Amino acid sequence: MRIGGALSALMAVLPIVGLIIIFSTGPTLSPLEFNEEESGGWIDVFQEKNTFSLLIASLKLGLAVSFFSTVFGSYIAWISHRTVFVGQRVLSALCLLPLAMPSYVLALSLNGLLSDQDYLWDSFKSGFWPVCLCLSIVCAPYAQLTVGSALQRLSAAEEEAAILLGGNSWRVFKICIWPTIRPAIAFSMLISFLYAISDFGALVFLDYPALTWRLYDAANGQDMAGAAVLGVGLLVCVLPVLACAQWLRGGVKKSSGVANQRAITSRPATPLQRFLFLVLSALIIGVGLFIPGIVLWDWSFSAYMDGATFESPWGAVADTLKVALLGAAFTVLLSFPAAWSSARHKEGPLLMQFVYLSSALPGVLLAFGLMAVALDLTHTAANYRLLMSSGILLFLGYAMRFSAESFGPLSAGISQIDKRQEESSVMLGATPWRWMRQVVLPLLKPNLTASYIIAFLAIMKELPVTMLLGQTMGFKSLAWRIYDRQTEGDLHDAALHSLLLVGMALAIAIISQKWRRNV
Amino acid sequence: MLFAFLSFLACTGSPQPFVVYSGRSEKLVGKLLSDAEQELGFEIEVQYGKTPEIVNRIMVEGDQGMADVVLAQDSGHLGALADQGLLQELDQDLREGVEQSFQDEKGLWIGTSGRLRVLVYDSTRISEKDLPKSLYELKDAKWKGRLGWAPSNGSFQSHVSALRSIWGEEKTKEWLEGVKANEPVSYPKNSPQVKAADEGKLEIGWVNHYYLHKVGIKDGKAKNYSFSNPKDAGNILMLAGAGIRQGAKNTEKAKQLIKWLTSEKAQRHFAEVNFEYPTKTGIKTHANVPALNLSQLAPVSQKSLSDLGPTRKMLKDLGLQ
Repeated sequence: MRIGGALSALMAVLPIVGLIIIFSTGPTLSPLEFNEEESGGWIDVFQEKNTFSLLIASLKLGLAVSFFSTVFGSYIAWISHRTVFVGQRVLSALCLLPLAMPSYVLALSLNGLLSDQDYLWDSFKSGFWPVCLCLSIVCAPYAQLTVGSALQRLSAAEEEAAILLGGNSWRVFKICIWPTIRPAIAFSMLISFLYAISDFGALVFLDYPALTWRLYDAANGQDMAGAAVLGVGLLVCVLPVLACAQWLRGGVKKSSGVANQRAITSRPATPLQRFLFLVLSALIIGVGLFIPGIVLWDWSFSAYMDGATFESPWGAVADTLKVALLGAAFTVLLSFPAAWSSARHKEGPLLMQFVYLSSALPGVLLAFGLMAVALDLTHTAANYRLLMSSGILLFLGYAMRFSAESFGPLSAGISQIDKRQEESSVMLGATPWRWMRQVVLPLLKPNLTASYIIAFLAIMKELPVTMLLGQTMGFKSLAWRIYDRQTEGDLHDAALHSLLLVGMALAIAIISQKWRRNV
Repeated sequence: MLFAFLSFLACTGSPQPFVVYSGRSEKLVGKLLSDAEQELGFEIEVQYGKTPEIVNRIMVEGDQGMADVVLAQDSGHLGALADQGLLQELDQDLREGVEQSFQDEKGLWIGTSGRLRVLVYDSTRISEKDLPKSLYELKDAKWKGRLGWAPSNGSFQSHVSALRSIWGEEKTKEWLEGVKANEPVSYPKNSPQVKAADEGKLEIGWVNHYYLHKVGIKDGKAKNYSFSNPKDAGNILMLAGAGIRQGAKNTEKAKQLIKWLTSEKAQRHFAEVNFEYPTKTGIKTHANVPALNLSQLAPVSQKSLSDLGPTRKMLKDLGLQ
């Protein structure tokens, strides 16, 4: 598993290797090199006007989104797992759905709503605050799922013992609960940060210039070398944040020392808890689902009443299910060794950083990076096509893009497994595989589920990797169809496909909620 | 086992399938290429994407590329490929019947349809006679607060590239600064400008002509306008086009497809379904689209529309990107 973890982590840097190939390759790619006369060399891209301020804008947005999304999601998770009241389960399930909402669809509908409100200050119609709200809503489910998985593994016996020994609520939280959820919170803050700094769609529609604008601009101007440099520059700036997240994650409570932990019994929520939960869920569901839902419904229904024609969406639905089901499985499979290493081995935290780095790369750079590596390895057109059409690159792309997001719940769960259970199994003659199958995997069911759902929902709405690496396989997903139709102003068709995407996510969220409760 | 399973999913047909990289959306060309498949009698594998990404992909893939034919949303990007030696020269018979000005000078790509840059205006707030006679007038202070544009849009940038060729760098920069001072509303794309004009939220926008006919216009307030000054710099025709990739594995099929795209049937599709301007002589536009008056068009080579690097730099320096 140690070697597997190292391999998983090393594979995560493949796209970065590919970008270096793009940047440094010789004559056949010379058109992509910087025009020395105009720009003075690659270092000049950082010295160009606004690049530094765009970088600061990206970092500012990333930090704000990571804070707000983690606060929102953690509170929802806390109330969902620790309290009970009427309607809580349904609302909790609905709070997960913004994860399936493409950020640019949410941003487009927010923009349409906010720009018409004359009573709003301009700074709330577009720019930093609307983008921050949009991305925080989309990222809050990461925290909800990850922190929720950690909360599910808390031991009732420990908390009861702490109370019996005279601990007040704060001390019980600090000593029993916080060490367990701390890595989950660190993880969700990091993932939200990486999501925010690599996003492009929401920033365009809500008019917030950041570094990804400059990066996509370079890519659209056939300046892949410049885009690659900016992408790597973005990664370098992410490193201090990774270090902070690692520090926050530190002091992990490795195991409770209690076998067969009894789960916490949910208590009736206090009026204040209920009120805050309702306000927060209204915000998340309202902004993340209700507003775009109304806008999308309006676009499609009014077009239907006007006699507009709609493209049959069922092929795209089937393709979306196919790529998401397989892609999520592949992502979880690839994340597992890295998560195991991160929780169990000394070098684990270092390996984790590689996995996080690939998540920080915008999808278009990741896809081109993988493409460059594939071209370098295959050498012939036939082999390249075989590799592209096999799906390996596509699913590898998904794994690179979403491993960091899906391996958090896994890592948190693995760190909670009691090592004495492993020792007992060995003493009783179980092979490592049997121990894994009969002890570890059942213990990790909630974490595997959370990990799979995160990857599934993220892949459903993913666009650049699917578009660049999936079409050789003939995949045309709902996200691709939404993009294709809105490009031509066919908003009714784009809206219909968006509604189906969210509908599928709703079904997945409800089914998974039911299953996780029964685990 | 995973590799074998994934390979099973792969939709490879023949060992060398005929592949089209299309920077034009499925909405615009999907049905057309499907019809081409039936008429030409061979399977066409279409991979869609944004035109810049398609071009990047071809550049990155190099000799190992899969594409036989490239369809681009604008000739600027075809020009970029041609400049890098990544397109084959088209036979003379493929270029017959298409206006000379709608092809590459060296015969490396051919225009399949055109979109005209126009002003879209709210006819209840301003009448046609009060509209500017030339694009250059938009920098006048009297247009302050009345304009909209989409600086991040590809067509906008291609048009500015053309302006640099027609007016020169200084005059173009001065014009952009002047229009910027009029505080135009920035839109991400063309279609929101058309909707805004029709809903009374925007007086004048700067778009491609066909959005007026494609977007669901309810009130009929929005109308298109071409500058009345002959050969004005505002009257630019953006060509969508096609080329055959250098090193294509199915050159004969590629030639058949190119020929089909400039056939009467395909050209009528562009005109009547997409509301675009056909490039083949003798094909009429849609009934709602005024005929193209070639003498009104600005005298600018399509190649100049591909000079996007300095345009982007100019826009960045002016804070428009």
